[in-house]
Amino acid sequence: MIVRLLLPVFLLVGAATVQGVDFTPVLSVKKLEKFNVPVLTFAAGDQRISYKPPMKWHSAGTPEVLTLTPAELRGASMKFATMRWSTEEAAKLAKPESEQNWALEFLPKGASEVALGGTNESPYMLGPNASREWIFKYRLDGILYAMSISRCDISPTERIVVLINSAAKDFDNFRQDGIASLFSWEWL
Amino acid sequence: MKTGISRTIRGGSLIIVMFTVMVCAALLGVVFTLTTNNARLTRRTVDRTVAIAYADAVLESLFDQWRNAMITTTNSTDRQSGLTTTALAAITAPSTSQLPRPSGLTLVTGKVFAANPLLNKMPNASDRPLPENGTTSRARVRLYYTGEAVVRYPGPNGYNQATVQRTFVRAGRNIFDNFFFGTQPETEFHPGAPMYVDGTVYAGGNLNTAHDYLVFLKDVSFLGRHSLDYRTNDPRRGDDPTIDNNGLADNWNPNNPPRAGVEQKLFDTPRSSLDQNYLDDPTSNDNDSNGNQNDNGYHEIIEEKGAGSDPLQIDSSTSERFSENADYRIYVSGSNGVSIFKGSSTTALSTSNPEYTAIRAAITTDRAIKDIREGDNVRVAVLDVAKIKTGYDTNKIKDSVGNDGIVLYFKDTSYGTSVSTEVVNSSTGASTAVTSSRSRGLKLINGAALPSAGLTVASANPVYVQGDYNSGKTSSQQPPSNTATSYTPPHDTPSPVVSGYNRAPAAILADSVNILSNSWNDANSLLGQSSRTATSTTVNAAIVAGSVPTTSTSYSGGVENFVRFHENWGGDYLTIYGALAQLFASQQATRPWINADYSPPNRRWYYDTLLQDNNPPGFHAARVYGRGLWSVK
Repeated sequence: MIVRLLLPVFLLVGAATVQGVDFTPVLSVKKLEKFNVPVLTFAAGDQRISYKPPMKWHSAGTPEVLTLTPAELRGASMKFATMRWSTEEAAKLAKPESEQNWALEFLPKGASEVALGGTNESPYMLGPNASREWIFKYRLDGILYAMSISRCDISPTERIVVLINSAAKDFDNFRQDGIASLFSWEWL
Repeated sequence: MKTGISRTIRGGSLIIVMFTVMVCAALLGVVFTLTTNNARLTRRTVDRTVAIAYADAVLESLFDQWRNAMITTTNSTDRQSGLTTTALAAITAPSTSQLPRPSGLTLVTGKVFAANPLLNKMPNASDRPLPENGTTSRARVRLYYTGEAVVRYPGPNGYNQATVQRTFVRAGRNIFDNFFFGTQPETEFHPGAPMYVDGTVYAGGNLNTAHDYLVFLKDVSFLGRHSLDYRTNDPRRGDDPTIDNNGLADNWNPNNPPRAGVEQKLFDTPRSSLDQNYLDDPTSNDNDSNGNQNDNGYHEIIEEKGAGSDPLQIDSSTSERFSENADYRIYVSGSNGVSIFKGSSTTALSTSNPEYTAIRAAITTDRAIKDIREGDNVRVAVLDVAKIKTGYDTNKIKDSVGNDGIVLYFKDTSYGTSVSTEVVNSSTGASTAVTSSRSRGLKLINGAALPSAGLTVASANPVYVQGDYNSGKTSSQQPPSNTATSYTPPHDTPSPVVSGYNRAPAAILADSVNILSNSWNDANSLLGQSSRTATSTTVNAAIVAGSVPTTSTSYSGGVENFVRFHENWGGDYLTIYGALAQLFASQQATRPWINADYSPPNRRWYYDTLLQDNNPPGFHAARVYGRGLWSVK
């Protein structure tokens, strides 16, 4: 249900630029000593990005959105989306409240009892690029959920949005796994 | 005539018969005497043999009781110098129900006496054994006792006595007797770059090796089995282990391959007193099974004591916890407050105390490193070891516990919480704000020269060692191990210290130990591996740390990653002179090795023979108990 609710949002804001990240995943391996570590790679203009998702998470992607779902946690997901971005857009969201409201837009329609759980400066970085994260709790269809919404501007014209979403009771460990995986992001 | 002749013949026959009878009687008498004597001698020999065998069994009981008394005494002097003969008077010979006594035997005494190194009983019952100081090592002192059982058995004039004696020995065992000591069920060596191990290796479980790159130059032993393959669970098991070129001759001397060894004991805390959940292979069951938070595996040595019984508390003044053996305990709070306690004091040093100011001046809080393996920005406190040395040299930082060098215990108490912190570029001073989701650590910098008495740093958190440690490196001088261009042991053995520098006894104990090269800059941790280029680095220290065991989804990283890496080492060297002890599974730095991002160094790892005679500060000798000479009087 969450996926269905979020999809229009991505379609609304998530049109990738031609030179931006193409989240269509390509299975690859990375050498670590003599070990082959499975990773995903994405095209990013004339570069490639290597990313290692958490163990036992399934991945499916389009150029705009990559969705990761853990095998052992029903209804939970982690999504990456790429958005066109500009200094004008950034200027509109210069105030913290404005940016928080921007983040709120990613909550599913029908979410109620929305509460801000916290804001974190750069819990991860994509290369040298800083990020900001908002954590919301909300209720939907009687179930308490939590969602991490974070953004990282990887260039003046491209913003990566990462959404980590699960039932509130599973959220802390699930978010930790998702955030930790972002540390593997590397431009090749 | 005829009759006379017959009478003469009959008389001769009688004489012959009588003579024969006499001879037979004499022979019978001899045989009877011989048989009787022989039976008596045999009986006596059998009695004596039985008596000796019984006395021997009594000695076994005395040995068990003596060892138990030596281990369990809570008096620190008794533990250090041994029990007196008087103190051992409580040792009793086994009862007849415990050890049935053969008929006819009487146990006269069964005692244990303190003895001297010549194995003579000490003159007074109140004497302790005279220690044998055969070496300069504090760790290797031996104490001797004589166990004695006197047994009476039947003899020709009533009873005979057999006095059977056996020497009981308590020997000191240096924790760092090997280059590598592992207590975990599985030990793996599968390096992806040349790795030379010039020191003995002891695996307290199974040993798994399978690569050309691995070269053992000294004895290798294991308790379980040796597998020329990846371990069970490793997804690569059964794949082609790369033993090519010269085959196993690349890995070790064909005349001295890894062999089954005997169990080695490093701690006085017996394994049996620890929660077994923490001693087995999987970490999935690492939870407290008995409600005692003080017995959760050997990780306890870097943790603080909680409420309840403590198996690491050997006696009232001896603990195997480094928080208990520290000269100073340093705590950092979530808000970066620093509290310092001296020795066992429960009152923090005041901020105006010279010892506080000297240590505080060496600590920079609220710095961060992006640790890709851990998937977190690790907030670290930075300890400038050069300033600790200055404080020690100027008598502001004092060896107040143990008189064996400086022991610092560090703990950031905010592990597991989310905090704001910053990554600082050590070249430009520029900072980048980041969030540390849960991870905390201690980073050691400027550790090229240590306090001459030695330095042990212990932490419940991960430790990051940046640059040369205990090598004497200066801005103008590198140890030859950092500059060698031809470096193939055993032919090439460049010195790990600069000329004129004497290695100090040194140890680092932590949840995990990470090595950052001389080229490390925290700011580069935010960049890709190509921006994190290492240069050759030398670490001269004994290291005790944990690992993340192999599972079906990730290799542990093996002993080659016992110290963890974060840079592209290319062809550069990491030299270690010291010893490694892998005793537990990490409890804070728990993310599997498969998440790491580095290119391995060429490993040149040596056992530091100085450790034979100099335990680093804070380490006690482990005591081993054995039986020695046996005699009968």
